[in-house]
Amino acid sequence: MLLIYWLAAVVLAYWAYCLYWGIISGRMAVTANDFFLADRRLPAWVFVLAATGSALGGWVFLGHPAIIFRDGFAFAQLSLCAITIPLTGVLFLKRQWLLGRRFGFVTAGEMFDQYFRTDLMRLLIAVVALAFAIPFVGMELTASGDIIQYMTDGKIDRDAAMWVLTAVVFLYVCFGGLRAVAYVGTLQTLLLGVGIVAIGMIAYMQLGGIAAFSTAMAKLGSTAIGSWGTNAQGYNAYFEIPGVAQFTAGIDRTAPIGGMWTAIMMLSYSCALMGLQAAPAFTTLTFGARDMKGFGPQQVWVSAAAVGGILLLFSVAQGMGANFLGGSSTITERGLAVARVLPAITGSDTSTLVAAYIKSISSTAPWFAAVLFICALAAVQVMAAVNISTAGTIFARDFYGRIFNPQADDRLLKLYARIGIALTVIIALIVASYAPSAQAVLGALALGFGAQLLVPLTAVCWLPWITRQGAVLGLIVGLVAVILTEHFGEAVTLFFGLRLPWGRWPATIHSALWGVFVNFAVCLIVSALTQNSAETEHRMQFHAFLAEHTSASARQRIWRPVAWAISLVWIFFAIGPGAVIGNDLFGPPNGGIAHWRLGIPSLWAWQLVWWLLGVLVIWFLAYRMGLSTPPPRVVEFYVPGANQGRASPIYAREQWRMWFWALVIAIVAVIALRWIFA
Amino acid sequence: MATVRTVERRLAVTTLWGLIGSFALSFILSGFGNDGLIWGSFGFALVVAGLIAHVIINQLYRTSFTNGEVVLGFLVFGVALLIFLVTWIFNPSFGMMNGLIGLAGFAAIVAYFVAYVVIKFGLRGAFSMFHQLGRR
Repeated sequence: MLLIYWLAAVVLAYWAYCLYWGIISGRMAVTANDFFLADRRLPAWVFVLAATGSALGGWVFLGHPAIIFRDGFAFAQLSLCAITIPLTGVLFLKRQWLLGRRFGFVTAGEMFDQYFRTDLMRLLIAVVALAFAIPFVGMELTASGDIIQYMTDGKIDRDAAMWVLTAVVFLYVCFGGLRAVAYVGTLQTLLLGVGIVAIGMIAYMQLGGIAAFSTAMAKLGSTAIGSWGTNAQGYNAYFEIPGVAQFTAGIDRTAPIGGMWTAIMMLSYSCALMGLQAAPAFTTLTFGARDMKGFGPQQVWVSAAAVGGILLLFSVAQGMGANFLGGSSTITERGLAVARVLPAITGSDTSTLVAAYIKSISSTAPWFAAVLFICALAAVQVMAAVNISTAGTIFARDFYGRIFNPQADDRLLKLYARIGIALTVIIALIVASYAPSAQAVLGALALGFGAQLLVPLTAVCWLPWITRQGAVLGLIVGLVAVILTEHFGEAVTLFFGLRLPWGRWPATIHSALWGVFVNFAVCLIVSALTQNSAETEHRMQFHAFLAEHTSASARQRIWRPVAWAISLVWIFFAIGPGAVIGNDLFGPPNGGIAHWRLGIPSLWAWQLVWWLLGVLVIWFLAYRMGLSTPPPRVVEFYVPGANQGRASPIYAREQWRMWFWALVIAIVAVIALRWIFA
Repeated sequence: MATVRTVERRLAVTTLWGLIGSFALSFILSGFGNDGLIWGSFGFALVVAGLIAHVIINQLYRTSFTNGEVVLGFLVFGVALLIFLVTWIFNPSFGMMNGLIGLAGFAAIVAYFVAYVVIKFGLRGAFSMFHQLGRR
């Protein structure tokens, strides 16, 4: 009961903080751009923290250790997402920011629309953004409800908690827009990082230190205990990557031998995670930055160095450590557990792992458990808030302002943004409460969808010869490929009586990479066939501007082959096929601690080595190659009114009819989803 | 109306104390609750670290503690000290170790305060400041 009082006190303090900054930001949001982009004046340190939190968020806090607990060190390799996610930023952030500043873009859809000169692109980006945001937000909010239900032994209902906790997020986002999201995001991100460290420390203490942890792992390594057994070499699947690839029809059709986290799966999953920084929400956050001073520090020091280290040292301790603390009933029964402080966690309950850690200290230090709960809540809400805010911006700018009322003033745009925020939150909550299975299926698409924007972003930032037709067709085909390599595609095709010959993630390749592969292939072929000099000339305006402000110095041109080489080598060995070398390079997993050269499992040591090298790679690209440093020349700012875009062909008298049909389509879609997934 | 710069400084300060304050309080309570000298000391060390970070923020924004921050700081310190002393005197289960933790922690904060005023105003300036305050 004491825990509930502490929870209530800490949650109230947290809400006061969120609402305070929501109200302050709301007072500062005079114009629509204040609301959408914080008047493009987010200081560097706020951008650094908010961007890191919104890219990593709740899945790193709650999901990452839970899957390490289930699948072992093979999944821990994905801690290197702390390098791959900012790699996307290194490639695109500076150029997007420059374009946004010069041409006055507010949303990603506007950027693509102006660049490719097609409304279809804007519409597709808006659809991708919403398809990304709604299930993602729903999953994040569900997690917050789940934790509080678990922490209070069911005294507080999951759905009730979720709705109440979300109400506060809705309020501060609705009051203050992106500024509130970023301002509140600073504390949320710090709580996220410190929370992971604190829970990791709890795990280390309960395990008796790293030496006792290693000893326990050595004992486990010599057995075949675990959900995936052993591989052909006799290595326990917890401690090895199960090969470069396994050509299965899908992970739900044929169980991969030794686990699903093959090297190619990690590479493709990393590609999916790169979609987090390619998503429209991140583009909007980038446009809101006052300058580029925060880009390099965010990518190199905060994301790659700090978060990478935290994940590899503390999330791994939480995940693998839980096996020896009572979390795995099999390991406990075989006498390999070092303590029994966690309840046995079965396959479907792994998401409660972090909550179980927090609860394990609730009897001795309920105040600490309450603070750690706030860390989890903050981690979940930082990512949700930025997606909710962006969904509102897209609703106002890309739908209302573009299609229905291009003359809308600031007051109307802010109003419709708030309506968009409310709709996003309500839809996400309804789906989370009443159709959780549909949410899980749709949520699986989100990462894959986000990754598809890597191709048009590459076009806008780097490759002027990609044509409108190529980008649009590539994106459509890429999205279809993602759908067809996920459960959603299986369900839809089965609904129409067609059984696909493959299942989810065929050949242990994530749907995101299937989509990107098809997307790029179609984009290149169609672009080659549809070159048009007038269109190329238009696109070259953007690239000429980028070239003017991002041209490499003579020294950087010399280093360019080196940059390519070290990047590819890092990808190959850290998250690609070369990662399998790490299985036993520093000692065989079943050899015992005497044979582990660094005193820890070989794969863990391999991951730590490539994390350190990854920080160097990102530093080299961001600073040495100038991919994230401010340009030497002053950027001409966008002048409002000078670039209002093209008049929408469908604006005006038909708008009420369109609203009606949009509503009908939305209702039919909801009914169909309910019917298909019921 | 507050300028953007003022608001950003306030954000930095509230973010700092939102993080440090919550964990410092947790560690201090853990120290008192379990006779844990290390945890309690770590909590007080966090408070001192927060105060130092606050001064760094002030330097970055070329300003000093606001009147509100000074009042709030003294108020929180005074109330915390009062609670500590009352608990020590009237609660028989509040052991010697807890007393040590509290005394060491509050002493560290006072030491920080003295060091701050001496560094900021100089030895003579620090005394003069109190002298002037007394004459008001």
